[in-house]
Amino acid sequence: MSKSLLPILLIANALLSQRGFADDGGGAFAKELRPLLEEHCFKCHGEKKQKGGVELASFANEDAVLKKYKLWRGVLEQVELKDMPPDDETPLNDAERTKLLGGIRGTLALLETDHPSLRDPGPGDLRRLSRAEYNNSIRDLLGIEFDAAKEVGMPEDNTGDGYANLASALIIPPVVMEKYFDAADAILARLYSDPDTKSPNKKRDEAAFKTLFEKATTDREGARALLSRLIRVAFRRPAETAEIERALEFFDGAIARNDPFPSAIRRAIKPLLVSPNFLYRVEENRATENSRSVYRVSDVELASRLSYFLWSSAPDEGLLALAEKNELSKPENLDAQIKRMLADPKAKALTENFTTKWLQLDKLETARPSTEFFPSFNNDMKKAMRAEVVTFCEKLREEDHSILDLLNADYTYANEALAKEYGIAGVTGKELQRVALKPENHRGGILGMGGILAETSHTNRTSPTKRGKYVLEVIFGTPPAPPPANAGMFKDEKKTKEPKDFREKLAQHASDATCAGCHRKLDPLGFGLDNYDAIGAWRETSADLDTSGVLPSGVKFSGAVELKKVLWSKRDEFERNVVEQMLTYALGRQLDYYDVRSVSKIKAGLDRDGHKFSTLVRGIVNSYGFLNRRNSDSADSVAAN
Amino acid sequence: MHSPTLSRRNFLRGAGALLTLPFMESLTRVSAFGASAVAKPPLRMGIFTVTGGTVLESWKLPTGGPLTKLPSILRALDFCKDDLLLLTGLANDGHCDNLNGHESCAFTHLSATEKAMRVGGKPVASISVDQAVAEVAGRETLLPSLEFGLTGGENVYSFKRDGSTVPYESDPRLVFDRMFRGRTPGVPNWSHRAENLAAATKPGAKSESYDRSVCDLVLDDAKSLQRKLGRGDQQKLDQYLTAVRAVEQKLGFIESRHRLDLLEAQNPGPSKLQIDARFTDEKSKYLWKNTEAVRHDPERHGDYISLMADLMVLAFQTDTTRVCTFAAGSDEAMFPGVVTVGYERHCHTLEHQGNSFTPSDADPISREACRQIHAWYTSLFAEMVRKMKAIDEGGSTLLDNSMLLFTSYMADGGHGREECPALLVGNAGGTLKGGRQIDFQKKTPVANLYIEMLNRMGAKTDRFGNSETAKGAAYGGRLPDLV
Repeated sequence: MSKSLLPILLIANALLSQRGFADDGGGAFAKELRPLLEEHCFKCHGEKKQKGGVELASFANEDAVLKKYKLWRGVLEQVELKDMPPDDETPLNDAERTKLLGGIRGTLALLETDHPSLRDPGPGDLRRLSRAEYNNSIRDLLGIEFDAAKEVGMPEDNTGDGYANLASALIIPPVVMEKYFDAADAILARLYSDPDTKSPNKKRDEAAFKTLFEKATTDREGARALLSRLIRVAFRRPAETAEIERALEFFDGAIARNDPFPSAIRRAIKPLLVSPNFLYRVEENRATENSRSVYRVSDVELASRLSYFLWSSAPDEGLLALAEKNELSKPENLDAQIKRMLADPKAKALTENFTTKWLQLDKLETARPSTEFFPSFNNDMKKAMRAEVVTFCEKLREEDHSILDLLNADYTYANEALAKEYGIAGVTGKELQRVALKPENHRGGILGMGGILAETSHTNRTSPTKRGKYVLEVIFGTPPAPPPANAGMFKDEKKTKEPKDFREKLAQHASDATCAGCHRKLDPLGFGLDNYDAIGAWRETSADLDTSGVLPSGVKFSGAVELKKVLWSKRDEFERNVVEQMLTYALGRQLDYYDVRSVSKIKAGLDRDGHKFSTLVRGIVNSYGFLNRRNSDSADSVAAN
Repeated sequence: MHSPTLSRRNFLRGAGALLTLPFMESLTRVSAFGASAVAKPPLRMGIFTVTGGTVLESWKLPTGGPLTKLPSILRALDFCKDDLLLLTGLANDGHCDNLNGHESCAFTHLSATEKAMRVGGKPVASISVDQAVAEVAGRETLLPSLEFGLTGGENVYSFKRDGSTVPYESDPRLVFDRMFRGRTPGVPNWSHRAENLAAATKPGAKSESYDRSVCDLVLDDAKSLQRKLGRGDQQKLDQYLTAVRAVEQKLGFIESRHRLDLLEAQNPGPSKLQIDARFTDEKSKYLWKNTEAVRHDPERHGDYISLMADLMVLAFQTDTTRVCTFAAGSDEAMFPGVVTVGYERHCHTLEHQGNSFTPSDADPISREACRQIHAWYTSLFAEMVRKMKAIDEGGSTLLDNSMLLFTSYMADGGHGREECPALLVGNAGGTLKGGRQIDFQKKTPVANLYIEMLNRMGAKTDRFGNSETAKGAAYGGRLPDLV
């Protein structure tokens, strides 16, 4: 820690006893830093002008800075790299720069403290099931594998680049409600055959009924047993007597009209499938708590949080039974359940809905390289490439590997065709298999996988920019700002001379001031990966292929092997990003300033324990935001609606 | 609008419930005015919006005036030149907060919103023109509005007043099903509409409906749940309640609409319905479940667009809805065969290389490819227009009674929002005079166009989106000289 940082930290620490970080005067930030910012930054980032959408003048104290910590991390980076202030503005002298950097770092360091104002689990909002969660919940409720959401055209949940389970984006417009009704009909049509039909499910249904009715003296008692069980699983909590009775009314009405037993049951089930208790994950407010107090979620609520995190589905009997006895939250039980759940095939959902989504594997489907230029990039190859990434992520979970394997590993999964593409001999057959990698294979980790390299390429060539963006966005969680409107492919270069090659062409394009800021971060990373062609085959650096790069920090490298070493040296940042990504997914909301310390804590746990996948999951489950909630009355949860 | 004095309970429950449903309100109101009030077919609004912007110099003439020779992208519409009103100079410059280029264009496209963003992943913009029209023109039809097109990143175009987005249906079978399940498609005879309405709305016994009792039960669930939730969650649950009520309302609509259909079948309108077998036959049921093939194969893509366009025609012809938006095309589509120049066939790449705002910045081969793609879109749109022009509604054609907007969510392939393409097609019941290109002053808000459309559709207003706050705010929020 530099000496200049100390006084600021001391002032900040003095403030820790208060509710917010800032005193009324705005704290150290207002006294020490604001004058500097005013002199050097406000001209372009003040009230009048907000270049690049960045506005700094409204920040009056530490609290405000912390709430926008991502913006200020960006400020920090720009000042560190001497990108800001720009050359044509009053420069910061060394003392000023040191003071500014130390001050911002010191302020952001407050996020790691245990200050009371950071003890916030975030808004624990009512959450609609995502499309995947809906399908899985139906599967586990009724035992039918059937993509009802697809059958009725349930719209994809629109969360942009976010995970599909982001609470605030999961709305129910009328059209979607209609779809839930349609889906319920489609599901029930496949459930419990009528006696006079020749349904292929008849045997299964008869068996199911038999077990239920062995103990029941009458049909109605059997129906009651069945419906009680279904309500409990559908609503993920014990069924209330009134709920069972109302379901039975539907059953009775149908029987009175001489409906056969199965269709009477179906009529009693449909309301469950469109009930808010099923479609939403409900966490009730506690009347005894005020809007600021934080409390542990109940065990029954925890069961749902856990099962939707790891399985994208409802809790099973094991979880529910434990939760109803209030024993799930006991640390040893929780630990055992996590272990059991991660080993269950249902945990594949974590790979499907989290890991591969984070890695943006969906983009492989519309990858651009064409067979005209890359004859081997056919559908089978695409499938194998996809399977490589999926299997790698699945094994990460199943075999509990280090999450750093994603950055660098000495194994991967390939079939014969893919291995051939990679130049690896000795792999035969169509089946994917584990392949040990040697240094001369130049692979290991996500950035050496064909699928990722292909989905970041163009029709006939690699795209250093897109690959660079992938590294920043996916690997490090620091995406560049979107390009400005009207940014063309290669439109705005001032052609002082014809570019001699692609690199020069791109450099000309990126010389424009509005583009340069991001391209100088993106392009070098991408050029480093240019040893892989547009579909990921290795090629050596040559006269035609210049894979050298200089990062904004001044670090130089040449080629993918050296670049990988550079990335490996930043594995802490990568790991931090993995934690942030999975925590976002687990909480179903975007992270906020009060989550920073949870992320640090989880990461510290990983560093102690070989970076194991299961350690990451356990760290998240035991994090503050996952175990706690507050009543949903506070201003921010209202605003999020 | 619902009467504010109507209690929710009365609105939803009890034997008299049906009489208070908006559809029935409008029916009784209309029949009270007598036959003359409805002898004229109603005005329909259709938005046919393609991806990828347009290629400006091939989309419009160098200067405004009579449309003598059509620009090359629009040439397929030559047969209805007099029905075309080409509007230039419109821009959509609402502020976008940290959205990517496509999202910026998509969220502002039909909303002309002052500010668009994502909050917690959720898209945010002000109400879009289609939904604002549906609030008024949608009260009298089975479906207030209809939205369909390929699902993808691009088509987040429609926003409701409460801020929710309206999903687009991608499976033509399911759209057809939404329109006609529980009824027999028929063509209204507009000169008999009033008496048929009067007969159909005679108070009758409310039929017992299973789904309605399902609604009752889950509404009870939701209400008892609300008592246990905090304020933030209650608002979320309000959305659920509204959605269930809409389902319930539609159940009522279907019943009364079915009665009306039966009456109208006895003296149907002069036109015949043409229903593609793929909407109904068993073997096509799963044809469009996966639309991936559409993206790879222009033949499938063309088929898909034609089929979807048919749905818009059917929706208007049968008066199932009067507001319809079709998001056609896909930036991710491949166009072998449609594009015959160069080697690149991937639409998005072509847009970036060839479709910048200034032609001199573009790669000429890619620009020609973009032009070919847009001419192809127009040819499919033109087939829809041709069908509408051939449908007789009793002295006037369906096209005469429609106002179609042919547009794109971007102005050009570089995510531009200046010079938005806007072509109005149809006579709009005599409120548009075609055969012309009108050049408005640069950066006139596209919101002005939406205000013109809203007013024609009966949603009277003098402001919309950023019509007053846009940099180029002009003409008092209107577009002069359209008629």
